Order: sequence, then C-alpha cells, then structure tokens
Amino acid sequence: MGVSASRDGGGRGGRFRRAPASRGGPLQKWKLETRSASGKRMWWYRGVSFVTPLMVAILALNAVGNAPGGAVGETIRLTFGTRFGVQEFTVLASPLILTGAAVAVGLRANLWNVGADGQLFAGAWAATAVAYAAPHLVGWLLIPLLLITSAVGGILWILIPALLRAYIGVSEILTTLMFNFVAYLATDYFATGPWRNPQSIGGAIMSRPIQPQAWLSNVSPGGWSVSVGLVIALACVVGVGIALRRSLFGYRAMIIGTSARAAAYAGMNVRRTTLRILILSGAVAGLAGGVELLADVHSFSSSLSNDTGFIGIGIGVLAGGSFLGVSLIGVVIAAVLALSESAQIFGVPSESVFLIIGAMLLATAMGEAAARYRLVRRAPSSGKAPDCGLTRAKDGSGQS
Amino acid sequence: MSGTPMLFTALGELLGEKAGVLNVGLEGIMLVGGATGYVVTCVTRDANLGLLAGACGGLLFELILFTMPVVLLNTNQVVTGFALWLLGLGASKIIGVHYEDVSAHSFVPNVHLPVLSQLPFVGAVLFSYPWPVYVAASLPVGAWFVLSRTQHGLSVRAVGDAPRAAEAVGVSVRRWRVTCSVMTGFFAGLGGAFLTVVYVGRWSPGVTSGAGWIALAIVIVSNWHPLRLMVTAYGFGVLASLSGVGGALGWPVSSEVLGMFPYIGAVVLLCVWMWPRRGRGRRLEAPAALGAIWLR
Amino acid sequence: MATLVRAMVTPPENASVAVTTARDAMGSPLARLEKITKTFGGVAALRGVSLTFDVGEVHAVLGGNGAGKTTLMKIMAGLVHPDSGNLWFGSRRVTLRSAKDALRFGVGMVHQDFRLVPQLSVAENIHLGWSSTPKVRSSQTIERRTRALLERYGADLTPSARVSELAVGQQQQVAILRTLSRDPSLVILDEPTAVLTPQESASLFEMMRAAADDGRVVLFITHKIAEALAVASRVSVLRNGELAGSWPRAECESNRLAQAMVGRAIAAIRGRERTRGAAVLLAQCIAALGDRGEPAVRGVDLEVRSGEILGVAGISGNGQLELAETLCGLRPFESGRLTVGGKPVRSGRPRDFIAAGGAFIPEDRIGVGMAADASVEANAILRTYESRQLRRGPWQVGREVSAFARRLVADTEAVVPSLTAPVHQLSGGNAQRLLVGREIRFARTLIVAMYPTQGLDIAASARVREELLVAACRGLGVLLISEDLDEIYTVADVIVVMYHGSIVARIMPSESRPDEIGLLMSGVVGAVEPREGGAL
Repeated sequence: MGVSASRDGGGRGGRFRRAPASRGGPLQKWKLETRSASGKRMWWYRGVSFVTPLMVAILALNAVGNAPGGAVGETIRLTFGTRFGVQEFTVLASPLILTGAAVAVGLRANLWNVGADGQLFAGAWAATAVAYAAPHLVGWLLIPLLLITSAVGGILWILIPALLRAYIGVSEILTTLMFNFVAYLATDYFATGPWRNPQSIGGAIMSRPIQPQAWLSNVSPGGWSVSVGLVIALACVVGVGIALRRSLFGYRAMIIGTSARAAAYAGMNVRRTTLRILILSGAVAGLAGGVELLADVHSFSSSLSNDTGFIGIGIGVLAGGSFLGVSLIGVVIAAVLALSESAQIFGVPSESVFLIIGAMLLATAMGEAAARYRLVRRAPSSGKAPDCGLTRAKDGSGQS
Repeated sequence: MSGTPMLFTALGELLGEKAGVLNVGLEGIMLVGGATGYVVTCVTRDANLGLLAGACGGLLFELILFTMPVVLLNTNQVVTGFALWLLGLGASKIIGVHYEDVSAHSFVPNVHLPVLSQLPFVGAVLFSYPWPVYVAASLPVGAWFVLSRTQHGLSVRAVGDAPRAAEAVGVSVRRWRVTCSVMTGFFAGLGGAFLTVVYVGRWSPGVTSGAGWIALAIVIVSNWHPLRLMVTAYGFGVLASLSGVGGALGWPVSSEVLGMFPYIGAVVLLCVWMWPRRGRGRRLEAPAALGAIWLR
Repeated sequence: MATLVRAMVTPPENASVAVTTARDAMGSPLARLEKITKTFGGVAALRGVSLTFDVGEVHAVLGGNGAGKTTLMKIMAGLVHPDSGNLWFGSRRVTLRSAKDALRFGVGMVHQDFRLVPQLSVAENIHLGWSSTPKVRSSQTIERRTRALLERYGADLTPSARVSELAVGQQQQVAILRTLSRDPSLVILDEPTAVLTPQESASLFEMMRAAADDGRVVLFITHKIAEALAVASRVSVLRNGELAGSWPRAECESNRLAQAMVGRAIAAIRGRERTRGAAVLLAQCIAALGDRGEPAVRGVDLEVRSGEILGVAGISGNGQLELAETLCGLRPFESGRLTVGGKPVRSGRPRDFIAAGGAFIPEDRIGVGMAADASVEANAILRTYESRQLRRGPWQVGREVSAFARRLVADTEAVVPSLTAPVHQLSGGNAQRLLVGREIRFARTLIVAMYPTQGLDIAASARVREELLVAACRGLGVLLISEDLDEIYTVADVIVVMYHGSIVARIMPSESRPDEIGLLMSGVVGAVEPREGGAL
C-alpha cells in the first residue's frame, strides 16, 4: 500500500512509491505545515493575489474586446479621461465604499453583515418617506436630515437580525440575507405601488422623484467634478475607522471577534457589543442608500443598488479589517465597475465584474493560505531532507 | 416540485457539512448548474442530458474553485465560499448569455407511478412528477441510511466531528472531505439545473433568487439530519410557491408580499428553532469540526 | 480498570508478521528508531534520536514538556514524518505515511487526549476505521460486537453510550480498547496516568507488564519519574529533543533520572511564613449545573483566607472546572452565595468577580484566558483595559497600552516576536507565562488557578509555584486546582478533595499522605481517619 519497505541499503533509493498507490493517491503525497506568518509577508501575498486577477482581467478585456487597437485604452479613456466619466465614477464609488465599510465594521467582530443591500434599500426608503413628507423643507436642512434618516432606516432593517444574533445566536448571515430578499420585494412594491411615478415609462421600477433641493450635487476641485456623495462616504469611513481602532468599543469588538470565550472571561458584555456593532454596520449601509438616493438616482427604485451590498462584502473582506483599505479597494472596485460598464460597448458582458471580484477574493484567500502554510512533499525513505514543494518557509513556530 | 431544487442543494450541502466542509457558495453553484443545464438542453434538445450536464457543471465548478483551495490548501472556507458565489454569478451569466428567453423545447416528462397515480385526488397531485423529483425524495433516505448504517457513513461523521480522532484510526480526513465536497457540487448543480430546465423552464441570471442560501438555512434548521431536511425543504417549497399560487387564485394580497414568505419563513424558523438552545445546554448537532482547518 | 489485564494477556488472533517472528525471540529488537530528526518551523523537536525497543519490554520515555516525547511517539504511530532518520520494524526499514500504515505494522497508540469522537457512541468509536467491520451494518450489529469485546476484556461500559457522557477514566478505557481491538504488537501510551487515581495507575501498570510478557512491546510516555521506575524495564530520557540517556531499570535511580531530564540539580521550593487574614473567598452552598444540565457542583462550601493557599485535589471531571467557572462568574450558579474580597459576586457575572479583585488562570489558556488571534498588546490589557490609566473616556490611549504591555512582557520574561504579534505565535510556555503574570499582577484579592503548570516543564512549573507563593505572601488568597498531588503538597496550606461535585474532605498536608488522598479522590469515603472529616 502506501508503505515502502526497501531493503537495507536502499536499493531503489528515493523512488519508493512504485507500489500501487493507496486510494489516497495524490492526496496523500502532500501535506501542509504551518509557518509563522509575518505581517509583512501576509500583506505581500495579499497584495500580489489582489492585483493578479485584475491584470488577468485587463488582458482578457484586451483580447475579447472588439475595438481595433486595444479595448483597454479606449475604455480607460472613456471612463477616466472625461469630466463626466470621472464624475460618474465618483458617484459609483460612494455607495460601494460605504457598504464595504459596513461589512468591515461587522467583520471587526467577526460578524458577517450580508444584508448591506437590504439595509441600503431600507435606508433609501426611509429617506424617501421623509422627503415626501416634507416637500418644502429647504435644502441645507433637508439633506442632513435625509442622510440621518437613511442611517436610521438601515438600523431598523438590521435590528431584528441583530437582536436575534445577539440574544439567541441565530446566524446573522442567514437572517440579514433573508431580509435582503424581503427588501427587494418591498422595494418593488413601493416603487410600483404607493409611490408610483405616474410618468414613468412602462416597466421601469421607479417612484416619483424626490424634491430637487435634496439632490446632492458635485464639488469641483481643480476642474474635475467630484460627487459630494464621495466626500460624505470617505468622511464617514474614516470616522468609523478611527472610532473602531481607538475606542474601547472597538477593542471589545475585536476581542469578541477573535474569541468570544476570552471576551466573556474578561467580563465583556458580548451581547450588547454584538448588537451595537451590527447596528453600526446597518447604519452605514443605510447611509449608502441615502447617498445613492440623493446623489444619483433621485427616486426610490430598484436601481439604487446594483448588487452594491454584495460587492461591498467583497470589498470588506479584501480590505482585511483596515478601513483605509476599504476606501482604497472600494475605489479600485469602482474603477473596475466603471471600466466594465464602458467596456460593454466592446462586447464585454457586464456580469464579468463579478468574475473579477470573485477571482480576487479567491486569489486573496489562496494568497493568505500560501502565506500561512507551506506545502511539503512527504519524505521519501532515503533519509534526505524533504523537498519543499511550493514555497520556502522562513522561521516559524507551530508544533503538533 | 418547488422544493426539489432546494432539496437537492440542501442535501448536497448536508453531506459536505457532515464531513466538516462549509460551503456558502451554493447559490453560485446552483446558478452555474442552472445555466449549464439549460444551455445543454437547448443545444441537444434533451432535457435529461441537460440535467446531467448541469450536475456535472456544478461538480466541476465546485471541485476546481472550492474543494481544491479549501481542502488542499486550507483557505478560509467562508471567504472561498463567497468567492465561489460571485464567480458563479459571473460565470453563469456568461454561459447562458445567448440563451436567455430562449425556450428549450424539451421537457422532462412526468412519470406516472403505476398504481398510485390513479388514486382519485391524491394520485395526480402526489404521484405524477418528473423523475428527478422521485430521485430527490429518495435521496434523503439514502443519505440517512449511508450515514448511520455504513462504515463509510461513520467515517464521514467522524471526520466532521473529530478529525484528529479519525486520523488516529487511519481514516483519511482529506479524502472524505473531498468526496463529500464534490457531492455538494454535484447535487447543487443538479438542483440548479432542475430549477431552470424543469421547474421554471427558462434561464435568466438570478433565477435562483436565494434558493442556495435558503438551502443553507435548511441544513441548519434540520439539525443536520437527512430526514428532517426533506421535510424542511418541501416546506420551503410550499412557501416559495405561494406567490405563484396566490396570483393564480386571485388572492387579494400583492404578489410581492406573498413572495416574501419563504424568506421570512426562514428567519422565523431559525428563530423558533434556536430559541430553546440559547445559552448553555445547546443541542446543536452541528458537526463539531465544521469549517475547521485541517493540516494534513 | 484492573480487569483489562486479561485483554493484554490474551494472545492476538491474527498475529502480524512482526509479532510472530518476534515472539520466538523475546528480547530481540522489535522496532528501532535511528537518528530521527524533526523540526517544526525553525524549532527542532527531535535531534538525531536513536532508540531500540526489544520484545517483551516495558519501555518508559521520560522527559519534561517540549522534550519531544510525544513527537517521537507520533512518528512511530505514523502521524508525523521525520525530517531525517529511519524507522525499522524487525529487519525492514519502513516509511509510514499515515496512521493507517502504522496500524498495518501492528503499532497502536493511545493518545493523551484519547482522540475519540465525543459525539459518537462507544461502539461507533471502536469500530471507526476498523477494516474487519462489515461495510453495511446496523447499530445493533456493532453494539453486539462491542459487547463481545467488552466482555472478553472485562470492561464495564455500555456500547451505546455516547462517549461525551462518559467519565474521563471510562473514556480512556474506550481509547485503550479501540487500540487493543486491532491486535497491536507495539502499544504506545501517552501519559496514561494523567487521569487516573494512584490505585488505577497501579492496575494499569500490571496490565502493561502483562502485555509485555506476552511478547508485545509497551511504550509509555510520562514525565513522572516515580511511575517510570515503578513499571518500566527500560527507561529512556529525552531532553530538548535529544536522547539524554537510556538505561535498563536496574541502573536507574531517581536523582539520576531527574538530572538527566532537567540537566541540573533541582532545588526544592521552600515554604515561607505567612500571616492569614480575612476571608477573600467565601462560597456558601454553591450549586451549579454542567454543560448538559446535570448537576456538576453540589452544595460546595469553600473558604480561602488572605495569605492562604487552598489546594483542591481531585481527578479532572469531578466538577473542578465547573466550580472554577462558577467562582469566576463564567458559569451561573443555581443556588448559594458567593463573596470575593468582601463583595458579593452575582451568578454568572464575571464583571463582579473582576471588580472584586479576582483573577482566574483557566485550564484552557489560549482558548479562554487569551484571544489567540489578537496581539500580545491586546491580550496584555485584557483585564485592565478599562482602567483609568489606559483610557480617556471611550478612547484608548495607545501609548499607555503599549507601555503596559511592554512592562508585562519584561516582567514575565516572556519571549515574544513583537508586541503586535498574535498570541498564537507564541509557544505554549511563553503564553502561559504572560497569562500567569498578567493574572497575578492584576489580582487584588483572590487568584483561582486551574492546572497552572499543566504543559510546562519542570523549570517553568517551579516558577509558577514560586509566583503563587509570592502572591500569597503579598496577602492574596490562592485557590489552586490541580491533579498533581506533588504540586498540591508542595504549595498548599490546606487541601480539600473534590469528588463528584462535592468537597469530601478537608485535610492539612502535614497530616496525611498522598495515597490516602488518592483514595478520597476516587470516592472511597472514610479513607482518612476523621481528623476534620467531611465537608467544611
């Protein structure tokens, strides 16, 4: 079977596995060993694995696109070369950064808020409702009010899953996800029902627009046109990031995230902190809805989110707990999205962005694994040092 | 009928989880299986072939993109599962891009069970279904049998509960994890294919609308027991078909509200089921080593 | 346990090749390890170790923690692959790829942590991976087979019982049976007496000798010199991954072995004079439930005074863990009153316990006492993160936190890669040092220490005991829960024995002997003459 028994003197030397492979076959040839992960190495691997799918995607774009002489160049020009392009890009990036931040907030305590999409809609819903209720309120009063309302809307939408998770232990992944679907259906209902736009072209799921004074416009630093929404998003993310890094609340969340038992041991109120983290996460996601409503779509419709919440999950995970990372990665992903929108002209299907992000996630996960472990071929019986299969390890600990 | 896709997927996931592998990318697999199955059906005009193709597509998808990274390289199961889902979203759209709104012109005929389908009322309702439905109904029984009454099943359970113990007696943890994970892919793909080829009859991106995720909930709610899983899956099927039924019967409630039932139902069920188990004294039968990394 | 003697004496039915040839040649080598080296990461666990195991011997492998004993045995059992070196069975050089291969060669190992599947029944555990079990079978079938096995070996267990519901000693029986049922010719036992009373250990030794006399080789790992001397026919000592010596029993004596294990003469711990003050722990009639709803702590009364060390002796699984958790607020208690440092501690409120100045060194250091993936810094302040020094309102003061952590690391002489490195990168010993140091420094009134020296080598254990003594001198009260009677005897001022969730005796160390306590630990009432018999 898998045992070699060579005669003394090792006639066949190292090549011992000529016996019929045990049913483990190739699976048994390799094993993994832990190696100490230096932070630097981890980031290096993650960085490489983050960038690689992007490169591949760009190359693929180039190959697939129909434009003569490089679809890539054209796409980039369209997206970033025009004032309008950049503006649209910032509009696109704002909610993504916010949902990414929302997920990152949850992840700090190892809680997965998959319902960012639903909370986004809930936030927008709340803001729309308030907007309809106060048609004559003046702009500079209305906008902050609506933004706050959208955050509250997000909180309301995550409240039940948060309570269930904190006090009963129901998986927040499933509950927030289910609420997503409920939110989609509710959006359809409201947008085509009570809030229906009498002038809408048949088939569009869109409500009456909200009053113009609530629309967020753009700032224009140095000739470029940047959506105010982006500013809000970045400010929010930075604020939340600092708060979580430096506060006792953030510390508690981190401990709970790594070890709930240690947290209980330290006397922390796990339930209360869990609840608060999820509420914060919901608030940020709701805010994303508000920003999208005010800056982009201007009415309550299902186009408020293009799976923004789910892409936000990707962003949150890729950022690995760093809120700065959320901003950066959010921008990168938004760029990818914007590019892929433009690339549609050249025949690249729009869903390919999911492929790209999925590939990035997978690559990052593999990169992390590669940083943590090394692959070692099982030692042949000759007594030589083993062949290090994949990567060299540096120093490390790890002991059975 | 509507419970069948979820049943397939949930059962597949159950097998995987019993061996300790948590796959959150079920939705993605279903989508890929659905797209593949539908395309093959359109091309070959053979629905049965399409179903098989969908299952195989799911299997391959899962094998390459999930099983290998997770079992062999020890990547984080949750993250890889999410990646799988996103990749599934993209891949399925690309596969099915030319076949949206194209009719397959091929059906899987209903199989009328000989005597039982003649029964006055019950016959037509319960015993005249396409063959995959019968397969799906018998799968949980088979799974239960294998898991509790065979050595292989014992090995699987040991691998999921206490991999170190299994290894100490010579059971190959890796082998079983791969096997069960691959089966997850197969059945989830089959579930997706059934959905597009038989149930809905059309392919469109997002046709699964959360079925893969509900399958995860089904596994938890059924306490990892195959027979309870069957009941739960059909229950969800009933809930899911409410909006269609309601529309047909002219109920005064809007279709959207009815459509919410499966999802709210999932939440309520989870809640109800976990309520007595909060705090200490849980009787969660989850495989103890679910999601745990395994270094050999 | 004593009845398992028959198990080993019964000749194996399907004798593996190695045993048949060996039995004809008692005393000849059955297996041999040659220059085995194994490195984990950059740490060498074994360095060129060579050992021979002869048929018919009981071979003890002695060594402190981290000496490499378990690694060596795992190599023999196919669970770990040596980086270099050879393994010989009989006259064949062999490479083991997995435990399955080892089983084929007749090697059976009973692990320190048993490696059973708690969720499965006794029968299922025994039949797991057993090639002679029919592929398709009902639970009745395997229960029947198990019953036959149990009868044959005289073990008193129910085949259908869930392993998680068995007492620890019974679980060990299941583990041993599982190994025996495969008819091994080389049996490895890893620290088998850790969970046994002295009487049960003696039976185990009988069994081991009987097995060896029958032509097998029995290998056992231990860190207790007395045990090795009691049963082994040959003793090998490992230290720091190297073979420090291997002698037949006749040439062994205690000090020489100890020196080989540690490398230097060991100084005894001297007790110090301490004054007793007011009670820092007062537990009255505490009752608590275990994880499955069964009563685990039954009406326990305890009192620990300031400056006093109270030792709680008992075999693990008799409620000590639940008791410790209850005292610290990690487990709610159903009835009774708890007062720490004069302040009442409410049921299930760790905060109360912490606020009263209590510290807890848990059994599961890395799982409970520390957050393994969090940084050293974050863990250092786990007790004190809310102190005014480390915070300003809701915000943490990063500088102070780092300074605090740095001080702690320096004081405890723990070796850490950096302050921001996650704790799971530290070796077990270093993490334990940090934990113990943190708790002892934090405590203002009471320290509850649960198996604080488990897994530590002799030098580190001595340090920990020193620190506890020093803490007591400082005026703290210490509740020491330990299975190591030597330790309790060395350190404690008062000893109570816990059995089945109750305190069955309270004794002064000077007035009793370890074996008497051993009897008490296994529930034999009245083993000690009534000096202060019964509960408090």
